Amino acid sequence: MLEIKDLKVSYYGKGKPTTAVDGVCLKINEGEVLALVGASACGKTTVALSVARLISSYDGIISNGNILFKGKDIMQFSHKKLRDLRGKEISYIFQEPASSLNPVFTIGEQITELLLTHTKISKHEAKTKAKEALSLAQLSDTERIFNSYPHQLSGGMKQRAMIAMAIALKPKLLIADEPTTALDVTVQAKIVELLKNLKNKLGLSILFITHDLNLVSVIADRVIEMERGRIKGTVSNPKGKAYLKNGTFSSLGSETVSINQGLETVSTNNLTKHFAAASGFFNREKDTIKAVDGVNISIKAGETLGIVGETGSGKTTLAKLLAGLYKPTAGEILYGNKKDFLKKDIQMVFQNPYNSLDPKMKIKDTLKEGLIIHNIVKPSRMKEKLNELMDMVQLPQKSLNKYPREFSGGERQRIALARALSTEPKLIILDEPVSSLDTSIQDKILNLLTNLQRKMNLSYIFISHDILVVKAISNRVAVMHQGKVIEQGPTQQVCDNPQDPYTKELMEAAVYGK
Amino acid sequence: MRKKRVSTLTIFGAIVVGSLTIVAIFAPHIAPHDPTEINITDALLSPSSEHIFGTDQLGRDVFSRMVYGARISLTIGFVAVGIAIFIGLIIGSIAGYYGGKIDSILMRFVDIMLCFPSFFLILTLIALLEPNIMIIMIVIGVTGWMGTARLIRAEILSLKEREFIQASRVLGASDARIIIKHLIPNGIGPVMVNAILGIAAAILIESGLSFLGIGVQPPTPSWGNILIEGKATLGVCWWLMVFPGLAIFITVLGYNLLGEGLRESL
Repeated sequence: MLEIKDLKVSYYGKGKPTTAVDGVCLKINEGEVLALVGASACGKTTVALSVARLISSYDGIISNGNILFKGKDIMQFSHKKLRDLRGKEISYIFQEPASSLNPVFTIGEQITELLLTHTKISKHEAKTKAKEALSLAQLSDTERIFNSYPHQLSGGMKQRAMIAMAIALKPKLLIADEPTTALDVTVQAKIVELLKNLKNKLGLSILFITHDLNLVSVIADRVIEMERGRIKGTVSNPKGKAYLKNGTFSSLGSETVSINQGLETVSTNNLTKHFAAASGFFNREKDTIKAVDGVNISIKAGETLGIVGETGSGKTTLAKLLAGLYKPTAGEILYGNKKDFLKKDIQMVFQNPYNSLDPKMKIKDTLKEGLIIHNIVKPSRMKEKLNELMDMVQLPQKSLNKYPREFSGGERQRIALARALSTEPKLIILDEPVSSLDTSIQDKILNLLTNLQRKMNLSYIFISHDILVVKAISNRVAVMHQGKVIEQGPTQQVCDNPQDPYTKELMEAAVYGK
Repeated sequence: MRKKRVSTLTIFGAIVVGSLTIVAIFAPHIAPHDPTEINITDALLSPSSEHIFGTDQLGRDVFSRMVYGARISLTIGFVAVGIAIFIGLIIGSIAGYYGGKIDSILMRFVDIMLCFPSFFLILTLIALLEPNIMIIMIVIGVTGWMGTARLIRAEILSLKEREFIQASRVLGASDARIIIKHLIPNGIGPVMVNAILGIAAAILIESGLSFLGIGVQPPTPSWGNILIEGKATLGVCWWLMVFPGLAIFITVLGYNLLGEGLRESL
């Protein structure tokens, strides 16, 4: 079906061209699912974009190699032939469904337009075919979805709509570039299931690109691993060779499994936060969204409480309540046994390291902020303290004079952690602190967190949708669903022997494919 | 990834703005004559090697007057816009940061200010006050801050939800600190572009005021009042109107081109 021979791709950005892919050879047979795995920046996506020569829109140039599709060399194709190839024979699904759909057209209009451009059928036929595609993508309420705009659909539904669009023209090859990464775990499993069904029904070949090896084992016939632009080899048994080195992860928390003594750093009593939301355009009556609904949790000194749940379950709202960014609608937060708290005692690390540092401030000024506000050190000792903070998070001291843009995601997250540590807090709330990082870097950050906790007897609230990570670092776990804590207890108990049906579903989805 | 290219028009704008600034700073070294020196015997001389832009009714060197006039025009432009930005930043950032009622009240005030045709508002104010450079700069500034306020408010509305702002709030930073240290430095880009366009507008307003006789008062030279002095002798002495007119035209064009170019590259 598809054969790539000795592919070399370079990017021409500013300055010197960089080679992203060098000497990649691979082959996909008819009806086969080939998975391409590897850490980010290893060249997976570049290979995917090269297949239909989309790479030229990203300043990339295929400098060497052949791409044979059904025996014909795509490198020799004219622009018109390429356009026919894209969509009709080869179609793509990308990571972020929200940005791949046009927000000003309905889903139906977008699929119909695609059909009309590539085939000579009437508008009526195109509509029928579009609806067929939607039902193939298992969007049950076809009529409603057809007339919906992208923002009216959930992330999972958007991705299904993208899949419907990708298969509408009955292509032979589907290239799925991290199609589930932006979705919740329970939804991920369903999307992968859908792709598997479609493959069987339509006889598709799929090039499936991901960094999540658990998904791969469910869908792929063969797995190829890439590293630094080259093929590293074939992975025969992806289950055993996970990037998420589960061994490393789970050893982190295991030593400190039971901390029952010690003071309670923070506890909540029936904590509730409601948001007002208009329910419709013509309906002026206000609905309330119960983002956090009567939550009781407590954290002891030196302990990590993991909070898991899907998007919209209220995890982040809870975090912001505890950090004092929101005022509770009802209920209370107790700090030790006092109601009022010192801002410096609770700090927070945010999910997106690209968003949580002021881009116009040097690192030293970012770190100084808390020190100045709370008068933590004398001005004469400032420099010493800044160096100390950099040492704590294992960054070179000379980086203090740099701006955030000069750092990678993992390094930025270390800086964010240093900022949180600057006020010498008792509790740090970590809101998805590693979910936007590569798994290999996740590991290092988690190790750093555990070491710091031991050294300074810190408490953590660790929020994540990634159960494996939470399992690795937490002493206790609380599961949130629709604003409520539906189950909490020691990590082992909640993860291995969940009582609540929703928790069961969540845990099963997390270990999907094992 | 699209490459950002600086257009030739932007470069032209930058050259105009740059050379004008140099002229204004080094006016005493560039002007061949004293701009206020009266020499009746040399009145209304046409351009020559001695007086390259000719002389006016009182025999003053037009070129020298224009070089000093550049100083006045640019000073008025910069200071007036500085005042406008200062007021605009305060009102806009308070409105954007606090939102709700405060935002509604301040923004309605902005709307009301924008309803007045600003040139006539300035005319009225100057007519009531004494027309000197200080008053002109203040009046232009006080009537020109609304654009800045709207821009910085819009920037702050989107910036204040960003995580680094929440991070500083968790650190315990005060509102003033968040606005001054984080929000304004990150949202100032569009305001600066607007400021460059504003300088052009201020220069134009000052020329208009001087032309109407209520701007910069003689003998202090400004492009506007050189222009009005030429009006009486327009049929005979073309140089008295053409050179200051061209200077205003090119300056305003230069600032506008530079401003537009920067807006596109932002």
